[in-house]
Formats: sequence, C-alpha cells, structure tokens
Amino acid sequence: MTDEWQRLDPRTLATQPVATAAKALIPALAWLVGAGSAVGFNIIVPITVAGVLLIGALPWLTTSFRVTATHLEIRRGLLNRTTVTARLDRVRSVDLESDVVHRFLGVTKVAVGTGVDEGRLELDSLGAEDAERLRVALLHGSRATDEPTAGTPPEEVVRLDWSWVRFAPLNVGNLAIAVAAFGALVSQFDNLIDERRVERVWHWLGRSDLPLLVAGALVAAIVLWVPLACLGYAVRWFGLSVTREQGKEGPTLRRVHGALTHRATTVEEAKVRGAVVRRRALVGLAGGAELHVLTTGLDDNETHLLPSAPLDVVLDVATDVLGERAPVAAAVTAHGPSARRRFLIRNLRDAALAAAGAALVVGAGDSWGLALPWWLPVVVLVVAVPVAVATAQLHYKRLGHTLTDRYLVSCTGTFTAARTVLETDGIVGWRVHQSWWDRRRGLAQLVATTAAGHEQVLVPDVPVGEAVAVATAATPRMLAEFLA
Amino acid sequence: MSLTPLALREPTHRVSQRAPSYWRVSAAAGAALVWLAAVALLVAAVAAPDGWWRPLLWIGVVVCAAAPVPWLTVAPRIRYDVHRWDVTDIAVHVRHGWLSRTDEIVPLSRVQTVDSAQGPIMRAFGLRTVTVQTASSAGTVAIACLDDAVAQQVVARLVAITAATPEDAT
Repeated sequence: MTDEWQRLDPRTLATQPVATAAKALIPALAWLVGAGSAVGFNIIVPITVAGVLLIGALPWLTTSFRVTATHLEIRRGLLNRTTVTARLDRVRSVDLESDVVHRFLGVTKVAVGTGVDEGRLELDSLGAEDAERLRVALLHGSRATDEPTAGTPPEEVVRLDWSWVRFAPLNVGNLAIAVAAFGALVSQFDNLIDERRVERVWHWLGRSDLPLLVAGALVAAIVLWVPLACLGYAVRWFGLSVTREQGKEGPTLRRVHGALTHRATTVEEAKVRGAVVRRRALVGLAGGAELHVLTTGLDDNETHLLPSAPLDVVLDVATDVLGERAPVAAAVTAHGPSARRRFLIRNLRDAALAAAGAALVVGAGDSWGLALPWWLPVVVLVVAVPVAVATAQLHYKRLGHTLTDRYLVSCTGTFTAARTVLETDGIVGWRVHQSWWDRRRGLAQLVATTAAGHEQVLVPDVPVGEAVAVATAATPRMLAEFLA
Repeated sequence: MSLTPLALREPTHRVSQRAPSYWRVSAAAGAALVWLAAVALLVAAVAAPDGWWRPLLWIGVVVCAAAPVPWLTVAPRIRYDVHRWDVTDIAVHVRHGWLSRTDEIVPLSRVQTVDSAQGPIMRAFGLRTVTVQTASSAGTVAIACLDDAVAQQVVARLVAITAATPEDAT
C-alpha cells in the first residue's frame, strides 16, 4: 500500500453487468418463452446491454482511493465529486464480501466501518489479495509491508461442526422465506400456466379424500423441506470459522463463512458491546441456540456469529467473546406478580376476543344463510383459555433481568427465548417509560440505549423501582444526581 | 439478585409557561380536521337510508366529535405539570407525557450533537426545542418548548460541557 491514488480492480467492470444479467435471466427467460414474438427485440437488446455495460463501468471510472499514514481516503462521483475520509485509528471493522460473480472474477467488496453507522466506506471491488492487504493495513497498521504481518497467529474461537446441520430443519422461520422465494419464482412463469388445468386440478381435489390428501401433502412437504433446509444451512455457513487476531488497537474477531457468497467480517473486539443468545421455538426444544453479537459500524449490527448450534457451544463462545461466564449463565431476577398478572389478563382478554369473534361469525353466518354450529364459540373458548394461561406462564417464566460485573442482561420471549447481554460501558442513555396501564400496575419499560446492535436493549414489564435501581447500579454516575 | 427499589426525583425546571397555549394551538389544526370528519359522518348518518350501518355512523360522529376535546382542554395543563427537565454537569434528565410518563437520561460524555429548533407556531409563542443526540438512534432526547432565551442558554451550556469531555461517544 502506497500513498498514491489507486483504482478499483479492472475486473469490477465485469461484475455489475454479469450480476445484472444473472438477475435478469429468469424474467428474460419467462418473457422469451411466454412472448415468443420478437417485436422490437433487435433494438431493445443492444440498448439494454450497452446501458448495463456503461453503468457497470461508472464505479471503476469514477472511484479512486488511497491509504496515507493517517487516513483512508475515497474519491468518487461523476458530476458531484466527493471525498470520504476515515482516520485509520478510528477504523473498527472491515467486511469483505464476494458473491458468486465476484468470486468467479476473483474480486471482493470491501466495507470499512468506523464505529459510526453512517460512516461506512465501501469499495466495490478490489482483487481478493489487494482486499486482504487493505484489511491487514487498516486493522493491523502495517501499511508499508506487502505481506500480512507476522505478529501472533490467529487463535481459533470456534469452527463449524457438520453435526449442527441437524438444527436446520427445525428453524421453521426459514420455511416462510423459502416458500416466499418459491412463490416469487413461480410468479415469473405464471403466464405459462393454463387456467383450465388449474380448474381441473381443483375439481379433482374436490372429489378426492381430503384428509388423506392433506396428510400426503404434509409428508411430501417434510420430505422436501428437510434436505432443502440442510442444504441452505450448509451453503450459507460452509467453512464458518471465528478467529481472534491481534490488531493494532487490541484483539479483533474475524468471522469467515459461505459456500457461494463468501464473507469475511473483522471487527475490533472492544467494539463488541454484547451478545444475544436466541433459542428459537423448535431449535430451543432440541437443545440448540444461535448467537449474535452486538457491534457498531457494520451493516448489520446484530452480527450473526453462530447459526443454530448446540447450546453448550453457543454459551462457550459467548463466554469467550464477552470475557465472562455470568452474563449468559447467571440466574435472572423475575419481574414479579404484577407482570405475571398482566400477561395472564392480556392473554385471557385475547382468548375472550377470539370467542367473541367466533360468536359474531356464527351470528353473521345465520343472517347470510350459512349454518354454523352454535357451539363453535364455546369450543374456541375451551381451547383458547388453557393456551392463554400456558403461554402467559411461559412468557413470565422467560422474562427476567440481572446485572453482572460488566453487563446488563435482559431475558425476553415466549416461544423464542432471547437473552440479550449489553456491556454497561456501552450504554449511552436510559429511558424509563410507563404507559397509563403501566402506572396502574407499577411496572415500567426500561430501555438502555446504545450505539451497538439495534440501538436499544429493552427490559420490559419490570417493577418501576427495580427499573431505576438496575439503571443506577449499571451506571451509577449517570443517575446519581437524579434519584429521589 | 433483587435490588432495593429506587425512584427518580422530579427534575427541577419546568418548560415555558406559554407551552400549554402552544400545545392547544397546535392541537387545534388536527382537531379541526377530525371535526370536519365528524360533520361529514353526521351528514351521512342523517342522509343515509335505514340499515345496520346507521348506528355505526352515529357512533363515529360521537367519537370524532369527542376525541380531540382532551387535547384542547385538560391535556396541555397536565403535560405542563409533568414536563420537566434538568441539566447537570454529567447528564440531561427529561420527563414528559400526560397519560404516560417517560423519563429520559443521557450522559453528556456520550452526546454527539446538540440542536435547537423552532417551528413557525413555536416562533409566534417565542418557544424553542433543544434536542440532544447520542450515538444511538434510539437515544435522542428533546427538551421541548423552552423559552427562547432559556433554550439558547441551555444549548450554550450543553455545548460547553460536551466539548470539555472528549470521548469516542460510542
């Protein structure tokens, strides 16, 4: 790395057009197959191709950057030239990302974070080796040398174990995403689908044995989903490894993963302000959890450090990253009878509303000549009340908070249990909010605001006296003068 | 771990005495719109043919007619009683709300920007709002509706204190 202005890698010229072409492939295919006729085809295609090539060339033509002794500078823009400057000693994170196109061309995107969310500097793209050299230069401060600093060898924190794939099918949240993606894909071809055929299928459905059909569809869905989920997990997290390196401003954490889109994220460990251990419904039941870390200056400040993995592994890694076991292991203080009563009343109210809704439907059905059984609301009530009581109990059981030497801990969730850990040193303000109902119950919503993660950590439905006490214990200096 | 319950004391300073009038005036615009909707519903309720929707229209009329009343009468008074603020050498404490209560505390060592703003109606009342921003987008605190002169003093004071505590603020 020298002081001179440098260009992006020339291969960048190809990334944009190839990516655009890849994205346009499916619609274009559908259009070609569906429309067939080539009216205006001869004019439109060359113009589009030329436009895509030109737009793809713009970043390369207009962007240049350099690393000086103190700053990283990036100049960009065609008409409005802007220069973005970041002080090297403020660089907190470097994110290298290369999707399939980038990898094919041997280039990678570089995003440099300075701890301020808006201040990310992006270079799309550099050659893979140049990018790595830039990363080392920025985080390890050895700008003169061409090879990565010797220093201490990276210490491995954790690496993907293929047995973790077993949790993937249990992550039903991803099922919704997969179904949506499938729907989007199908909708591209919907002009190929014959409506009469759809009607014939519908009629056939009406004549067949419905329960058997539903059972069959369910089995088919599971048979399809399990390998698909495992494949998705494997592709996304292939080669995951988290390592610790010695940067110029202290240790850095580096996470590498991805079979198709390869991603290497390095963040200064001092900027890791906390973690979230999340046990999603089914994954949690199977003894799994996932780990996010709360950082600043990345595009997703709740960085996914570990995908669904065994709870022990997650807790060990969290302990390693946080430097304390207590935040993820210590017992938490429950929020008391008032909070419990609130959840119970709220859930019972919802159950009553559901029954009332059912009664309304039955009544309305009568006047529209639709004979619904009169006992339907009763059945709804009988089913909903135990569910309401059980979920209220679960919600209460999972709610809690505590303070350790350096961390504020908040546990929330009903089906998905989340344990959020935030370094008290990273708290940049407090909010104690009481709605009118909160005031009648003596509860409060305590919010610790922070630059990391999703900007705030909520301790919900906590007795108001306890809320102030927790805030005071966490940051005594900030609150001392404001206590009664 | 259960801690001894603590409570926040009431911050010392009130907002400007003209604030309630300002709140009433700025609520009036919204109230006028809602009342316009009430009149429209009233016309509909009278003109519409009989049917199950008629009682619904009447309920709509009553709700729209009554909804803005608290904001024009009692709410500004209550808000004036609740709204309070404090600036010490270490932190800012603001309390606001009328049915709800919100206490916000921001340490001055973490303040990134100090703004003051004044809309056209506020200018007519000689009011100004001071806004303190931190590195958290969720941590912005506003001391609303101060006397213009007081607001200027507060801004000057905040700027002086924050300038004296150099930190990364994240």
